[in-house]
Amino acid sequence: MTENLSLSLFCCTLFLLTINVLLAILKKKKINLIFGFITLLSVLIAVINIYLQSGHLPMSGTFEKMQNMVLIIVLLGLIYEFINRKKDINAPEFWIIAVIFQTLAFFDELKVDPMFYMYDNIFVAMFFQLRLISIAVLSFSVSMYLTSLKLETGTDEKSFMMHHAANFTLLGAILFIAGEFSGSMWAQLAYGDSWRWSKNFFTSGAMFLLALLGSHLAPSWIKNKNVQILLSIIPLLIIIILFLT
Amino acid sequence: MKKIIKFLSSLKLTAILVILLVAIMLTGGFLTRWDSIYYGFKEMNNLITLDWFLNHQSHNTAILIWFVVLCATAVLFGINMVLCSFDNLLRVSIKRKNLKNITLFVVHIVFVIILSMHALVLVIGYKQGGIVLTENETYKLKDGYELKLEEIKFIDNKALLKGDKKSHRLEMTLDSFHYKENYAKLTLYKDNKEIVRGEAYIFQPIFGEGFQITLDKFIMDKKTKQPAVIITVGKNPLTWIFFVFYGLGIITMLAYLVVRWKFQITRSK
Repeated sequence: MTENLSLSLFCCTLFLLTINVLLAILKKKKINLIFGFITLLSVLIAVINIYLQSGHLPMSGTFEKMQNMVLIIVLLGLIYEFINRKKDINAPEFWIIAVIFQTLAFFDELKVDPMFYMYDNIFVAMFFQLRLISIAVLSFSVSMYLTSLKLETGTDEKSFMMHHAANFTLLGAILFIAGEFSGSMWAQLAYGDSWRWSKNFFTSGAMFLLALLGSHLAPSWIKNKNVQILLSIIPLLIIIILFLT
Repeated sequence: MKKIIKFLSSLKLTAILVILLVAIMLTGGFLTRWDSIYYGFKEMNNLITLDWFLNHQSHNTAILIWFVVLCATAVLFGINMVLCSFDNLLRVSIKRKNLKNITLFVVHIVFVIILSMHALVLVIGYKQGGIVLTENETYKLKDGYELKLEEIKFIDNKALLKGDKKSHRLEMTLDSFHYKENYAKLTLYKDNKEIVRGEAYIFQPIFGEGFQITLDKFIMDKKTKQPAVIITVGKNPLTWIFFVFYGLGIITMLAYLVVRWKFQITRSK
């Protein structure tokens, strides 16, 4: 019963997300905002259902983690849309990214992970949750950079979007390293050391460094704002690809 | 000399080193596709990294080269971080005296400490991992230490321990594996004198006399067909201080984000 419900909710969210993409592209701001809140409700119920069904928060299974990430992206997007509803910024990019993430769930089994014993540990749960949230925040940052790419250079809107995209990148990096802190505690208690010489630890190290790369590229090196934006997006896209693969 | 310091403290070098470190890390992950390298890294986890580097008999050449390149780059990155913090960030903080620059400087200093501690944790202390023990078996550690497994309590279906690595992981649900009830009773001796005794559970190591005795996992002993355990014994005085600074690093980054965010909002008004 609950498995059918989780599939129905997943499909419902996907449908609503697609409608939101169309509304955003057509610049129907008001209806988009209303549909957006319905979508948020749908994905929120889906995540709660995952918890009720499995006894754990979304962790590493593709089906559950994609929906958790969509929840964060939609939530951030709607907050931003609501705050800036009077500004002349059309931002369908976060809807497009959300729909892509939701669709990616089809590449794996559409089912929720069972309650593995390690999920019962607070540091394991925190590691997976913080990592999911951080990737969602970094993805939202990508959507903001993409929006700013369309705006005219020299305008306040462009600078505003670029500044906040950089803020969200930093927030994503902080959440990511907080997840790594939990992961290190997990490793310390389960394997007797905070660091492991293994593929997962190397990839995590690379992801954290990539998240900080954008803020270490001095604006004075590249005068063109759009090139600056592209150079900020590339490391984030690599992080997302590393996470998904 | 001034030119060298300027180059070593430059943001350009930071960007180059970050890209290099990313490439090295990803190469390390890619290399684990080969079994010999995968198991080579696994052996590295059984010892303090310095002990592995100085004493291990069968170094894999690819891992050794990779490790030396990683260390050299990380050292250069550390130097760049220290010089950049003091030569650029501190100077700007004193000159402009605003909270944003001061916080940025503090973030970098805390991360210099975290990096240094991370490096120190890898070279000081003691570690012996991958110790396989069955009941009443003893393992001789260095400097006259001995670890004895007194008892194993495993209440779950023993067939759970027979599967291959993937099926083993997939079957370990909370209903089938009661990790809070299964334990290994262990005693650590120094020159035949008992110094630490206790029950090690998964996620709940034994602590005493500066040692941490960790129960990595339960396995099936092929000879006796009875459960056995894999244990790691470690002693590192810096571990928990490292975690404190790690937490502090996150808090300072968060503080910087708050200051940065507010400043921008004020300016846009």
